Amino acid sequence: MSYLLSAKNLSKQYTQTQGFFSRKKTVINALDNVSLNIKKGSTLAIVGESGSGKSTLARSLIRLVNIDKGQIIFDGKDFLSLKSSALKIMRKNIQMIFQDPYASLNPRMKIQLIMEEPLLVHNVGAKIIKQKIDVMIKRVGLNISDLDKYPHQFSGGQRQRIGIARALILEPKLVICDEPVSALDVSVQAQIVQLLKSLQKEFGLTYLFITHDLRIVRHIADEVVVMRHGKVVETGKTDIIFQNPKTSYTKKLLASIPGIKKPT
Amino acid sequence: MKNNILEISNLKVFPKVNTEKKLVNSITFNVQRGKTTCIVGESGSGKSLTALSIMQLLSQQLDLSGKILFKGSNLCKMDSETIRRKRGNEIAMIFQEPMTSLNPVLTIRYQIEESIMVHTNLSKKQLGIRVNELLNLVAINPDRANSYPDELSGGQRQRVMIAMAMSCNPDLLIADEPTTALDVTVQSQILELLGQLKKKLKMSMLFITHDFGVVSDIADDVIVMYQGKIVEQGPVDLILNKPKHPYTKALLQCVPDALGKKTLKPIDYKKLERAMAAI
Repeated sequence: MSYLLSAKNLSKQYTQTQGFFSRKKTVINALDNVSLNIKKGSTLAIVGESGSGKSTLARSLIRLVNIDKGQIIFDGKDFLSLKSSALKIMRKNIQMIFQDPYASLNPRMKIQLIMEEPLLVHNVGAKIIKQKIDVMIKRVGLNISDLDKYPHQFSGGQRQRIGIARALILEPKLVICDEPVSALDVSVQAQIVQLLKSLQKEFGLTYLFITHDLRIVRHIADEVVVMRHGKVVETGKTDIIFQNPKTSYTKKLLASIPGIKKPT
Repeated sequence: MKNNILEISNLKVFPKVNTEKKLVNSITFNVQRGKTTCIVGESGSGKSLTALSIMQLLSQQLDLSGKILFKGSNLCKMDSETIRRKRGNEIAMIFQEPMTSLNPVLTIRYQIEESIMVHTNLSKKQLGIRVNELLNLVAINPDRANSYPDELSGGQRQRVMIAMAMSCNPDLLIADEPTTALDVTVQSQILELLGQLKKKLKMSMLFITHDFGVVSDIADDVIVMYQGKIVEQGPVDLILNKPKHPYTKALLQCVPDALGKKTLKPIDYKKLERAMAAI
């Protein structure tokens, strides 16, 4: 089986200081021996409450957070040992879509510039840039005339489309989606989920999808990793986890989905 | 008619500079005593404006017309002083973002005390007892009363907001997307808490949300709003299982369900408009 990304025994500790001159120190295990594998072209969802370490995990996979221990193999290469220039090239293959479409776009940059920036960073030729941007902006359901606007002129769903377009313009292999639809209305949520799914088919993308909403997981993920307090609680195929959860924590998560009437 | 705690008829909200542009366009509905009525709609459908008009907290740039009868008296005709006495006392409201609605430089004890002091003349000692009571009610350890909001989690902050809203035993609680910013597990705790409180205190609730999952958990009656109008209203079972209006149907199809493998269908607005024009 070919894995696009496999991570082994990732650990990350944060030290929290409290009290007079920060003398009281507490250690928080944000990641505690976490391992996971993502198959090419599939979607892996990471589920957990806030504080479970799911965002730390996502950030550590693109080395935005430096982990203490562990190994990350991306596309057959040891990702953690890469030096800065090689890392830059590799990062082109991993892009991220963020939760908050209001905060993740620079309010003083036009959409054209926002989309251009990743291409400039990675030295894509000026001629192709314009063409690429035009194709991508149309693909996510916006118009070429929108390129001349600023982020505040768009709705939340449209901004998330821009975020997706920016992430995909470098033609990455892996896209990390950190709660991409949590801040959106249900109707917009459905649009964005459908868009992500069709883009996956078209470009053969692999998704790492972080969310706390299990209903979305069922619709988008092939496999699920359930996290709690920095540890992996349960992992497996989506259908199996939903129909036959093994741990009490997963059962509790499933029971808290709104709309499932609890037996009283 | 005695059964209704809130009766709204022909409520319109519009900007003062452009009175033709109706943000809320002539809506009429009732909230029954002891029941939970949910308003469902997308952003921009006018559901929050409806809530704010009941509280008489609309922005200065907006104006409203119509009647809002709360326990038989028209809130729109009251002077600001009378309204102020009702607000927080008989009608309370909780907001979507517990992070931004609490004052970060005051302890939660002070903030809860403040809301009680405005409406009652309790002594300092009685106030302390009441705050502890309220924190117990929302399942926060009273030892935490001297904490500042940033020392609490999102769910705890929302519980504090609920404690403040409950401080004067309101008859009507307006909850504007109180769980949208929260995790699913915390969301289900908060919904359960609101359900219990409603029963215990015999409160009526007007609950605003865009999530039909939440609706099916908490609502007795449902109002579906679209572009400032009510497109459908009725008992929750009827709306969820036998929706009549094309918009309600389309909106229901957007909601992901955890049980089956139903495909998500984003709303096709052109198709929807054609369907609505045909009615």
